[in-house]
Amino acid sequence: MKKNVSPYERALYIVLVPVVLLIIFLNSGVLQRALPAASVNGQSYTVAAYDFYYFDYYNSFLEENEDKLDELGYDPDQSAGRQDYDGSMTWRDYFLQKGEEELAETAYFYDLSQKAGYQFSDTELLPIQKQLEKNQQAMDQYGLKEKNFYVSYYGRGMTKAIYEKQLERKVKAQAYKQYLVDHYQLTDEEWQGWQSSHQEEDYKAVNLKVITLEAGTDRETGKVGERQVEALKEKLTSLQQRYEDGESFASLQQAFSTDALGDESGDIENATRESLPEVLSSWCIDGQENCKAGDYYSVVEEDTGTAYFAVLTSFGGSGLKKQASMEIGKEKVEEALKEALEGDYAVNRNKAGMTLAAN
Amino acid sequence: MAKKKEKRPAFWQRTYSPKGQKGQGTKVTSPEDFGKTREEIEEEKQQKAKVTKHARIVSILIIIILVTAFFGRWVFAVMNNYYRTFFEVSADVPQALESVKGLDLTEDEQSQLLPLQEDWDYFTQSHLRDELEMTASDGTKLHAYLYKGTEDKTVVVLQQFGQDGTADFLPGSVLGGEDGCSILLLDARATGDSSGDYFSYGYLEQQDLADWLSYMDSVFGKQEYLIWGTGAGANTALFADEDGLLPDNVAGIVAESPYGSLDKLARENIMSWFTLTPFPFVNAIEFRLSISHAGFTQKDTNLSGVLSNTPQDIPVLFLTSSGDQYIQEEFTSEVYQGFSGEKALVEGTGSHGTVFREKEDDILDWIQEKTGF
Repeated sequence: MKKNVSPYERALYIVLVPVVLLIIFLNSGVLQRALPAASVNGQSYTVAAYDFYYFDYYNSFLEENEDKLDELGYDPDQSAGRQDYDGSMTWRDYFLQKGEEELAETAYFYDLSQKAGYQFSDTELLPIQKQLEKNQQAMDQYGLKEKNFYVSYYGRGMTKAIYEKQLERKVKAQAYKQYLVDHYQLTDEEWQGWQSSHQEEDYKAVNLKVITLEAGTDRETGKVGERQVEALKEKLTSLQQRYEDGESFASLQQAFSTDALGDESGDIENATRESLPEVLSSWCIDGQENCKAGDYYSVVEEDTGTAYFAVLTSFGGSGLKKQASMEIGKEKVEEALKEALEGDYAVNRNKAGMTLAAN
Repeated sequence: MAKKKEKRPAFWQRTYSPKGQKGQGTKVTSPEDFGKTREEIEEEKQQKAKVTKHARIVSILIIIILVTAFFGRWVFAVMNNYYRTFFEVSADVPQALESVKGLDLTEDEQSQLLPLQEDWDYFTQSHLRDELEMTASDGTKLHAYLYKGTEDKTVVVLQQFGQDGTADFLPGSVLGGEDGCSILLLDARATGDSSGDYFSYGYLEQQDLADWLSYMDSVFGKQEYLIWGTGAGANTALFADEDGLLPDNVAGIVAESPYGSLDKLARENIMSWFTLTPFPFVNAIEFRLSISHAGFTQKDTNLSGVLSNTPQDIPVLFLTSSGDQYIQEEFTSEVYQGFSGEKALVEGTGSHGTVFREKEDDILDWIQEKTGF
């Protein structure tokens, strides 16, 4: 005889099954990848894309302020929306604001670069690869699968493809911004104004090749102490010895330098006092009259646990104009950005999408 | 007293007679039986009984198949995971090694080792570390780290399973620092920055060792070598010695905690390390290895299989600890007993990896006397 299903059971199935399906659907990330969260200058950003900028800022904030979160008044174990930032907004509001600033800035400079037809060099695009490698290391360290990693760190709905796309936009935007700053053309007025308020003396420039070495840390304390600085000095002496024995600077630089200073080859062009550590500037800027091209110098900066081996390749021109170009260029670029963020590049939120964003 | 009136039975409960006679015939117990003969009912009952029996047998078989399938799948999954970890050196190695007993030191041992570790740190932080790359005989790209010394003597370090060339080598601060020897720390194949799909516990690595020595001679001029191997690294050195692969400029070998049989080591310890029985897991892993393209089988990894060979004329110092719960003393003793060349044995009492700290003078005295290092 056919068993009768009671009305209560039937009601349970009718309610339970759709609820379970809805929960699965909401957690699958499909909505986050389809629903728009915001738009900037007419371009729509899905919840997942928006989350990239939010969590990018959020994760950096946690990393940089790991030791002083208490001081700042933020508890990462509690909901950001329930913690007050400054009386007028919560921490979530703060992170949303910062994330949106990053999103808008990226959109602005990326669009500018596309309009200008700018071709990015491999060096400018290198941060993309480095970040992906850093992510892979984190995945290996914590035993996370790729899909779980991106969802855990960048929100439900995030996939590697979306992440890579937004990362590429961000890196290109930053690279183009730097290009604009570096290639700013000073007007005569600006140059004269700068000269009148800055001394030529402060802007002597040199061209150097530098190898940087970092001190190790104490196994127990994790800090750089006297013993580690002594070891670094010995290491620097060995490096200088190998250079004197005929080993090429390039091979030594590639093998041992941490590239903390200079470009990938260790080159620094038109380095002024401001752009060099004091231990180096005192040799090649202040002591310029005692130096000639080809001279080399080894020094350890004990405060930071960094050692430098520098070869003076040539004297640069006056760095004053270059410094002026960089500083004024930076100001002008920031001004243009501010104007754009208040105008066409203001972030317009989509209410429905924002309920799913930044969760 | 009036007779109690009997309740009239329902129609399917009434007796039935095929000839229409009341009171005779088979008792009809269900409506379906109505209109059937006794024989037909009996036959149907027998048929039903057979079907029930068959259904029961089929159900039992299905249950057995399902249980076997789930159990088999579980065994396969576990076996596959450990195979990938211990032969393909997957990213799960550090996690797997956390379960292995004997790799953790006591607090006392840790504090006693600290000065040696700090000396090693000073050595590595005060010396430039070169990175070398070389192509082995079978085309595998191998990687190593070199701390170049002032003497034409090189200590070649073969770390144990799960460690690469960045792991500590505590004797290095003495041999490299004070004595001026170069220290060459190898990344075994499939480990660190070396290529390779499989780790073979010394079987394939022995040729890699020979290739590295040849490479070093060709790049830096003929050197004298002291080979220091731990665990699988010790096995590598002894395999190479027994198979005659080492050049004549190898002055000595220090074999710390070698073991005669990987199979025996696994079977003895798999329960205490991973809470698994040797059967079927070790058997399944070995079977998987035998049908893979690894280029070796479990049998090839047994050092005891080659101890009957005549070793080269290279003195070997064996190191072991009675407190070693990772590679227990009896495994090293078996190798020591089976080795027929010039040998000596130094025994400590602490955990795995503490012999040098405990017996530093004895070890260094032997090295100086036998090898000149």
